Amino acid sequence: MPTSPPIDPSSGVPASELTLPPRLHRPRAVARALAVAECLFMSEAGPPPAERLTWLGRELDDFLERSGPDGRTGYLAALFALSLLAPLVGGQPRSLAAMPLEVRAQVLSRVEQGFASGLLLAVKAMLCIIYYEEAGAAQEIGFDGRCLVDSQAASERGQA
Amino acid sequence: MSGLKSVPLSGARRSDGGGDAITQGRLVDREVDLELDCDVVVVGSGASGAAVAHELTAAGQRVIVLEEGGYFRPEQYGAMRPSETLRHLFRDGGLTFVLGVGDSPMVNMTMGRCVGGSSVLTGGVCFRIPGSILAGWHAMGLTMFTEEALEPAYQAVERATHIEEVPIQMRSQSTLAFERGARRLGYELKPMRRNTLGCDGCGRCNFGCPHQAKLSVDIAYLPGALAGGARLVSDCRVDTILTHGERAVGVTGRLYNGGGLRKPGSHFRVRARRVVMAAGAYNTPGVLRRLGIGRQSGQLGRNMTVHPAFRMMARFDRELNGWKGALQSAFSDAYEHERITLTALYVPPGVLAATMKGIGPEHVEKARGVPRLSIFGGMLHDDPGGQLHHLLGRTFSTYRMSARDREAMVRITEVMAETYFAAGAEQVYLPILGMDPVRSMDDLRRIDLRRIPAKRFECSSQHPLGTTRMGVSPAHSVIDPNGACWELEELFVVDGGIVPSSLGVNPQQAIMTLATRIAWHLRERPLPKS
Ligand SMILES: Cc1cc2nc3c(=O)[nH]c(=O)nc-3n(C[C@H](O)[C@H](O)[C@H](O)COP(=O)(O)OP(=O)(O)OC[C@H]3O[C@@H](n4cnc5c(N)ncnc54)[C@H](O)[C@@H]3O)c2cc1C
Ligand code: SF4
Repeated sequence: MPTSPPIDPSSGVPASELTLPPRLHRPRAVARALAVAECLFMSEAGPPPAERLTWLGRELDDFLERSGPDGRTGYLAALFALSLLAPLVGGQPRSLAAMPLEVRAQVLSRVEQGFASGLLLAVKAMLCIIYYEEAGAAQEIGFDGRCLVDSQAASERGQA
Repeated sequence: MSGLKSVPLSGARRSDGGGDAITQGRLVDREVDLELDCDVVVVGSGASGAAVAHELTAAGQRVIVLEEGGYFRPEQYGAMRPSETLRHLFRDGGLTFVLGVGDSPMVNMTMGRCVGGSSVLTGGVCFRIPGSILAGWHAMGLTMFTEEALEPAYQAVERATHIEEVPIQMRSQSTLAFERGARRLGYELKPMRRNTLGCDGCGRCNFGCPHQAKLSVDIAYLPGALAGGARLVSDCRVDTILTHGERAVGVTGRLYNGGGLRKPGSHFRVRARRVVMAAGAYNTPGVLRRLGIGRQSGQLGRNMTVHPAFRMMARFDRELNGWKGALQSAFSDAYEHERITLTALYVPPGVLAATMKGIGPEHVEKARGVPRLSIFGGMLHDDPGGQLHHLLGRTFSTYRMSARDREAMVRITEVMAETYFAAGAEQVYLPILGMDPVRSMDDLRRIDLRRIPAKRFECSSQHPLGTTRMGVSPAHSVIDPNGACWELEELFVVDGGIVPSSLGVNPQQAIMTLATRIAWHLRERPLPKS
């Protein structure tokens, strides 16, 4: 049974190091990822709100910057390979971002059922993890696990 | 290392809190190289390292713990969203992959990289080493590992980390749904034991407990060690072990204070009378290899077992809101004879949504079904098919699944799907990439799972073991039964790498117990002269 207080209640990584930077580190990679995200999260009502995608892009960029060279290289490689492969698989002579949303969805569906499904899963997984942390996106799918979505709520509970 | 400026630990700039116990390497002045001195240096602050630091400090030894990852207080990691925890506290942001060789799955292996190591990220599940596993170790000559011999160390760990049974009322609706199916098929779920105290079942254990109710080692062991005089340096990566003749006399490496995130900056050197490696099964071999250790037996970095794990999801006709309840509250060993353990679990909605096939409206429709999903996991007691490789200072790994494990992987899929249909699931999502959900047992029977390439199975692991395995002969193992490296005096290994075979159950309790046992041995063994 622990008898001592937490290690050092006043220290820990400085809060300033945990905030998002003002500018993207990898704008091209983020644009590629958002071309997938816009289509992945498109509902019958159309693509997700632009500000939600912008938020997703900033979060993904920060994730890649902080997750270390091995994880980052793997993710960027999967994203790059997907952006090369998808037009080939879909028989489309243009980049994913340049395809209309419906065409993009068909192309990605084909990739998902083919030999490169693992690549798409890798890209999709991180996009989904971040996207459904956004309070609005979580609400849309009926998820109310407060400690897993809204950091403010989690923080209040942590201090309670 | 020439020109290293000698600075005692007290001369380094401290974490902003000014406490004496922890120095955050990222905050140390970049112009300053650290030179420290102690009795025992422990490399890694995870499950094993923290337990050893605690025991040796209590025995009056001067201990320094070095940790590659950052120091996040429980209130800090408890306030993070899962993707924030992934980027700050997981190794490689949780994106480490083990390459499947031959007809083997690609394994997503997750590990911690922070003060407290993987322990901070566990589901809290604790098992003693099963009797059948100990019997296997005896066959390897490791006859000293009996239930009776391990009992005092088991008890010490159970006391320190408060291992308790999860009450049945904390089971989530997701777990209860699976349990209904299990009962109909004639098997039971047993209550899980976890290292918790005051758990309210908020279900985010794998991203750090926000209530300090999970007694991970940053809560259970490190505070006591630091209060007792141990020192911890975070954000510092050990690269090599210093030697003098045939003896280990310290370690060297770099602090992550080079500007920018995770950029190595100044150097450090810790002189010690004894070196204890606790960097985890995935990381310790890389450090040992630089000294040429392991050439004698050829076993360093080999024999890796991973407990390949598979998640099954099922959609029901009503909302289960499966995230409400203790994350891992129950398990079943009904298929132990097939080397399968089934465990309750839950993962964030984004992970659930990601693994279901679909793009655009199809994806959104499935994601809206998340509240109706139940999820359960199956884990394999696998053969040692993994191996670590090192290239340009980086570690990567491969895994060749044995034929019987390949068959067991299919059995896990069959057993869990059958259980879900018995429970009345409308649809079952097999852990197979790009596959549509199946709607009935007849659907399932029409799929020849044995013909589906293993690479399409979605496989994960949190339990690398065995890469510096212990044994009774230097010809077949890297360390002896007391944790001593066969090839270098005063070098000990205590982490998951020493476990000589797969356990078939979650390993943290076994690892902490073996580490405690080694620490007790070290307590009695005189320290060499400086
Ligand atoms: C998401 C997740 C869930 C899990 N759930 C469970 C569970 O419910 N039950 C269970 O029994 N087990 C669980 N495990 C496994 C368990 O946490 C590990 O088996 C156990 O923590 C391993 O202990 P260790 O001391 O060997 O390594 P770790 O706890 O991983 O600690 C190793 C530490 O060494 C540090 N390090 C590595 N290299 C260096 C270096 N060169 N220099 C300095 N420091 C270094 C690392 O950053 C890390 O902090 C889980 C693991 C994960 C990742
Ligand atoms: S379920 Fe319990 S142990 Fe897990 S995070 Fe919530 S309070 Fe902590």
